[in-house]
Amino acid sequence: MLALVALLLCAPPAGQLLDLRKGTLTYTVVHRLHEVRATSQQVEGRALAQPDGTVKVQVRVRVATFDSGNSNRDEHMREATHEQSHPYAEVKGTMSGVTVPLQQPLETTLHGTVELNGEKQAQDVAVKLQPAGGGVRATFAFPLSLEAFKVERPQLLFIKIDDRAVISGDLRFETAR
Amino acid sequence: MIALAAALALSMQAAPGGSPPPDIDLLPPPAAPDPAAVARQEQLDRELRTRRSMLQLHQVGGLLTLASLGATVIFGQLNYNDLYGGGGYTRRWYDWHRYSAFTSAALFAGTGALALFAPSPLEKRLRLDTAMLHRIAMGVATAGLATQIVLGFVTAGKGGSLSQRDFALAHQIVGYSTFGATAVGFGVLLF
Repeated sequence: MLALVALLLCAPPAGQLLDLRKGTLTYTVVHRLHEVRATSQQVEGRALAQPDGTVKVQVRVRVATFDSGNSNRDEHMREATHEQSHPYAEVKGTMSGVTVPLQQPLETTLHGTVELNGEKQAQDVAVKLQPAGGGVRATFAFPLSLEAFKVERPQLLFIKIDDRAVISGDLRFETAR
Repeated sequence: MIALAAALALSMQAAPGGSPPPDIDLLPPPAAPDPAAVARQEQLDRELRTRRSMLQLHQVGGLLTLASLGATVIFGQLNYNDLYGGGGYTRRWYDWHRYSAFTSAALFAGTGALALFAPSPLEKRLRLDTAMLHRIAMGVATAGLATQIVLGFVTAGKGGSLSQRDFALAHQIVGYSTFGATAVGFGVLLF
């Protein structure tokens, strides 16, 4: 019996596990003099599609991997988000009404939590899902307040960037091997 | 025991329509920082604060340098016109040009030193980006300014000589180039 209990505790969760195969995450911030887009292609993620249509998702990215086209600026963002203490930015949450494999495009909402700079904020994210090969392509964009995440806004020529940053992503999930 | 096993099995399924679990961990947790990394953190934070202060001052210095170089170029052109362009050889712009040149050279050196000596504790790879273009442009401007200091003194020392006008022309060309490189170095950071 103990063996059965142990087996159940160690059993994989019910549902279909999907791994993030490739994708990009981009943040866009606005300074009075210009707009900056920084992208990372080193995104990690996993989704668990459950038989009841609920999908649990976790996506994270190392802050140090964002490239804005200016290494000093990227370093400044790493500093502003205390990357040494909090190396990852992360989104995780759940969606409902999603059946995998996806038969047709679907728009849904991820009820999740965004973690940045060691701070967590609840966030609803509108997500577009499309069948892609044997997997699912997810695209999304949502705004966040840098100050809500206690990020000291970087400044250039004594002008701070706007508080509003937009996070967008284009991720492709496939069945875990 | 069977009941316990069944309860455990049920507890591992998400309740249909139920609220999301408090936390979702599908990915393996990131490796915890080792004690040495934790110990390094405080030093790193100090260095980053110092770097930020120095680079803020670098921006102030950059603006002042650009303005003073602009003034130097204007006074230099006025001086050139006065001495070699039929302006009457009054030398009324000579000291304006001379002292604005000294000021801009001092500001340039101080501003450059702030960037050169700022700690850079975060590892970053060298590549051609706007930060690199800034460095290249400022390297050209530094070479130009060093040339200008020498050319300026040489030109001033050729008083009365026929070649003075040629040296003055070279000084003028290098002066505009130096100002241009500085402006480019400033401008690339705005994109």
